[in-house]
Amino acid sequence: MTPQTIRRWSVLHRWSSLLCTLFMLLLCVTGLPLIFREEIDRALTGTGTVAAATPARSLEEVVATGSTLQPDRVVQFIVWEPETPGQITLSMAATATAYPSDNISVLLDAATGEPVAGGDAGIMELVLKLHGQLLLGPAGPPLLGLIAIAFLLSLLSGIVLYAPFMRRLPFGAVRRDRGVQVRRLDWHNLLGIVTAAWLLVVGGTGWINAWGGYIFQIWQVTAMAPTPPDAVIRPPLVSAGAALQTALAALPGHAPAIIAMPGSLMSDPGHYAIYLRGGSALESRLMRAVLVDTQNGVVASVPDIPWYITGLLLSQPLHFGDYGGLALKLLWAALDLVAIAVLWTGLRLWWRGRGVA
Amino acid sequence: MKAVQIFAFPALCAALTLAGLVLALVMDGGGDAAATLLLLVPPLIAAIANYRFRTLTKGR
Repeated sequence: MTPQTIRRWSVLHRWSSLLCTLFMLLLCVTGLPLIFREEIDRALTGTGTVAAATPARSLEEVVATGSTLQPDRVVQFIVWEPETPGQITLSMAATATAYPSDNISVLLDAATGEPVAGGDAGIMELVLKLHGQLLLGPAGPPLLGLIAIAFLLSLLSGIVLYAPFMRRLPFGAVRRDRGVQVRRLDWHNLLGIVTAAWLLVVGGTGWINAWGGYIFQIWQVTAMAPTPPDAVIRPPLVSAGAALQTALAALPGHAPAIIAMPGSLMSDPGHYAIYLRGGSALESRLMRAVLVDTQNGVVASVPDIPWYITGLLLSQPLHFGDYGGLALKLLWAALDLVAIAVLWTGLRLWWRGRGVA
Repeated sequence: MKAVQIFAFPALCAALTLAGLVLALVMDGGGDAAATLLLLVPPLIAAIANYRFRTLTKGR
């Protein structure tokens, strides 16, 4: 690599890093509690799972409770989290067709239909909105998408620059006798290259997640009838609970994941889009959809999930690292702390202005 | 040192990390533990390499 080429890569690394570092530090810090969201939510709400013998309330009763709690809002999504089998989350928006960035979550006990104490719009929801939207509403995700591109450029240029900086040093070298700046550079290079693959995966999936809303809109246009902003949603003649039973009969061996109400981002004006999870580890992440007509309760279609929706669904667990047990989550958190160290050492290297990583 | 030599350990770390991430995602039963073990190896490799460098350069 010629000195001029190295200089060009250095400029790309410096400026792409500077563009994203402060945002990335914020994302790494807010991402840390999100890894343990399930545990924190459980600790805050003080809820466990419901005994299997307890008869669950009808879905209509549960939805009615949510509407009572948030009378100015309508239910857009009914969500079953596999980690909390006794609970149902209602994601509620101002209107049926509103973009879901300002939705409020209402956590309800599936057995009693009662709200879970502390389960609505808690601190974790705020952290998630800060992490996923920077509290900027619909403008947040596209901005985060641009930040993710800068981060990925920074990572790739850092990998390219690793070779010329390490050509005379063995792997793992941290020179302690050459001053603070050289030691910082060596730590930056070592920690950065060891976690490069993880950082690329988390950065890449973060970039995909940032466009999640748009990705679902593409699918809405191709697989369903898109909802015009001024669309009038005909009141369903079939209940969401009955539609769910129809969908479960259409795809035996599946469990409910999400019911997207008519007109929402993940559905269309005339159908409930019912997303179901399969039984295996992979199938439980790759949901399948069943569209049920809101007027006659008939299955309209079982659309194939396109590759870009598959990519989006897989990118969510890979981004948050919450798809494993506690050991994997702890490791994820440790890697997140290493990422903070890489960002911080990079920032200090630039601030001091002597070394160029 | 050639680029192949420079990137030998980083490539190994990357391969182990990616294998761990994919395993946890697709494997039923035990995938989680296997993935955790695989993801633990790259930091261990780095720690050992760093320790080796420190002992080799000690007293210089």
